[in-house]
Amino acid sequence: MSKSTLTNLRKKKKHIKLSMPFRFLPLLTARASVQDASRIIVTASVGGIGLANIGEQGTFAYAAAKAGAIHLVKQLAVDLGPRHILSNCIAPGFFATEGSMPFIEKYGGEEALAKTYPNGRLGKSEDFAATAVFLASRGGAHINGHCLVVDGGGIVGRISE
Amino acid sequence: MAAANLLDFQSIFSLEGKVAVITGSSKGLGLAAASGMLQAGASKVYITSRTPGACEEACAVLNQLPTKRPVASAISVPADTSTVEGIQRLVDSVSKTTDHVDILLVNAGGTQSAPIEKTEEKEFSEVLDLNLKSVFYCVQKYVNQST
Repeated sequence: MSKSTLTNLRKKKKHIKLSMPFRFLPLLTARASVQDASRIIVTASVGGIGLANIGEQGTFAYAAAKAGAIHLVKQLAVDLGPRHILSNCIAPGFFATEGSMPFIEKYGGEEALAKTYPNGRLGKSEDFAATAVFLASRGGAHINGHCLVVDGGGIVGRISE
Repeated sequence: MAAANLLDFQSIFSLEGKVAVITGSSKGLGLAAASGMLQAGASKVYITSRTPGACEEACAVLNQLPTKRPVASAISVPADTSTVEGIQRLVDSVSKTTDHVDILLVNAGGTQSAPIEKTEEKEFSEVLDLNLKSVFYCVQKYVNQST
């Protein structure tokens, strides 16, 4: 064996020794306990509960995928619960993000669409951030397998003019 | 009256010292959640999306937040989480700087739109992969002993 091959092997061995303990640790279960459970939070959508987009701008796969994600989380909640991991979904309604803009335009723009929601507005960044923080915090420690809708009540009923 | 004794209730929504991984976090709702978690006391928040430049930019903004903990940091770990290989790369990158994760927010998602007649098989599968399959494999890679 040449000297350079040997050096390379040693280097490789050193690398493996350094990185292995991390690589093989199940990251979410490493510190999880009954008192301090880890959290899985999945961003779903109200489009996975009620009607998403149909017609010219139909989002058939998206609606089905989000509905699937909501049910997947229920499976995870019971399977991973005993490993001290809680699993939940957030289902946002319309937020004025880059990805949502084409659809918001389709429904008449931000202002017109906002008026159709019971609370009179679309979602704001802090609405989503606060929900994620809540589910991740000690305050959300007994919530598992749930889908939290953040849409100002739009899923219950929309206001028509 | 024991029910009135709520222990340490003032910190009930605190994420003090927590480590979070958020997919799709270089913009939009994921970025908002990253900012919220850092300001709620998280010590490390991993920012990931397909575009390395966007991850770096998001981290630069987050690391300037005046209300995060001084030692807390947003860490850029670009990866394409719509594929299982990409998810594995993400786990590998994250593992370099932490031995555990407290919070996994699987947020990456997106869609194309088309009427029924023009919805192609390839696009349908891509949207399912990104919004559903990747959720399962993200979770698997973070709980599996043999990742």
